[in-house]
Amino acid sequence: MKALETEYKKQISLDIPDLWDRIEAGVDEYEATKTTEAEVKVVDIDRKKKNNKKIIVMIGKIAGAAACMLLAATVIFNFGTRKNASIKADSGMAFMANSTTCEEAPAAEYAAEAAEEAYWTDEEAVECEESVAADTAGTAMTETAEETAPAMDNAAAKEASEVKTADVLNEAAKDSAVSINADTAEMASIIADDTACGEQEAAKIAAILADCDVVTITEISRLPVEIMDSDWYMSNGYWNINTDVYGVNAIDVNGDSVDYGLYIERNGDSSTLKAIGKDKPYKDLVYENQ
Amino acid sequence: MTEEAFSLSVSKILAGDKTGLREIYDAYLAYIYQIVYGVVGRKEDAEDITSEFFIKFWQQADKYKAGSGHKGYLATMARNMAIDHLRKHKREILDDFTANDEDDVSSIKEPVSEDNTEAQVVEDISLQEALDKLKPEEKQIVDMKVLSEMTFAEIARLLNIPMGTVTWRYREAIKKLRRYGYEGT
Repeated sequence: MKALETEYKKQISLDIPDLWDRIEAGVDEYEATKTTEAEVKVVDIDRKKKNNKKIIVMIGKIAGAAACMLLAATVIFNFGTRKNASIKADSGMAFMANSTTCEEAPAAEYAAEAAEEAYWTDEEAVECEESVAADTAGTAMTETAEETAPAMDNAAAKEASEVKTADVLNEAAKDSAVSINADTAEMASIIADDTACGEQEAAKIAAILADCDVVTITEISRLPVEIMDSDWYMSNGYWNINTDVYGVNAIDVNGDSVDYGLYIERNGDSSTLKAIGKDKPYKDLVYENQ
Repeated sequence: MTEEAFSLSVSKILAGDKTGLREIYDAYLAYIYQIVYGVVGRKEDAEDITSEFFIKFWQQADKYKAGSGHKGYLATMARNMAIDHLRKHKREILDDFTANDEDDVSSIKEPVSEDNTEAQVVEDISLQEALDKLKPEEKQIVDMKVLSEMTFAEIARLLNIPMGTVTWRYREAIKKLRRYGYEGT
């Protein structure tokens, strides 16, 4: 008896062909494929690196462009702001030049400097002023011109006021005494009617105005509460809930337009009549009649 | 091949040196081929799978862990490759078995009655001639058991037949081979 396992394996072994060439070829093919895959991976990595580099460069360009845009926007914004400031300064120049006192000189100097930087030339400003004085500003003015309108209005009003003053002075020269009496009497009458004060107080008002060298009263009006709420009136104690204040615009003997404030402060049955002037020192313009 | 020698060969493979693979090839070609042949049962398929086995070992040499018993590792790997092949080409192989079976039916000599010659050698023939006397399904089980060193359970699982059928067929095959002078275990 022969051992089946031993004999069978021996026989199988004899039949085995040499497979080494096939195996070696397969290994070489695998190694070649492996190398190619590695190269592909390297290429992919290089490509990714290049793409990353492109992206970084692109981001850099975008960031640069954004920075330039931001810079440009900042410059334009500042330029626009400066332009507005210049225009405002320029628009205020004419008024300030006409009404500047020594104390206001630095402000006028600033306005002049700003005017130099403004886009408007002096000639254009004058033209605009003239156009406002001719009452054409509402239709023909640009935005810049609109900003300058209040100042122009002031200048025009002053010009008109001067013209009117000349007329008043001429009339006052003819019949000054009558004019004073009539105006003061009129004002006293108005205030008396409005405040229910007596004839005695009306006489006092007339006396005050006469003492102020008032020639003509151009306007008299009761001042609104919000004006009296201002710091100036409040700090000087001229206003409380029992006070009525009247604004008086008048022409004095010198032909100057002056503003007076008359107010009547009531305290129970008694009342205090006071007069103050806006444009002159307080002590010179307060008259107390108690 | 000792464990140390095998590990050294693996190290060469990992270093890209083909002499390491050659050493393993020389030592275990027959062993691997037998295992594969025992499963697939066809010479051409066994050659292909054996070649693929060594190429795959070259590719996956890093997965081998020294000290785990390299011969068992190689046998398991070769057997699994052969089984995979068998599963992929099961229909073709079964058809071949059927054809061989039909061809063999006419050529098979009627065995002598068991009553008279069960323990006697009736004919002194070569092993190959003796194996050819077996039915295809019997030879397949003998190959798997003897060459591939598979257990009956593994064979039953692989062929998807009851283990009792496997053992009965194996026993029948061994009886026949014994009559021709080959003693199986």
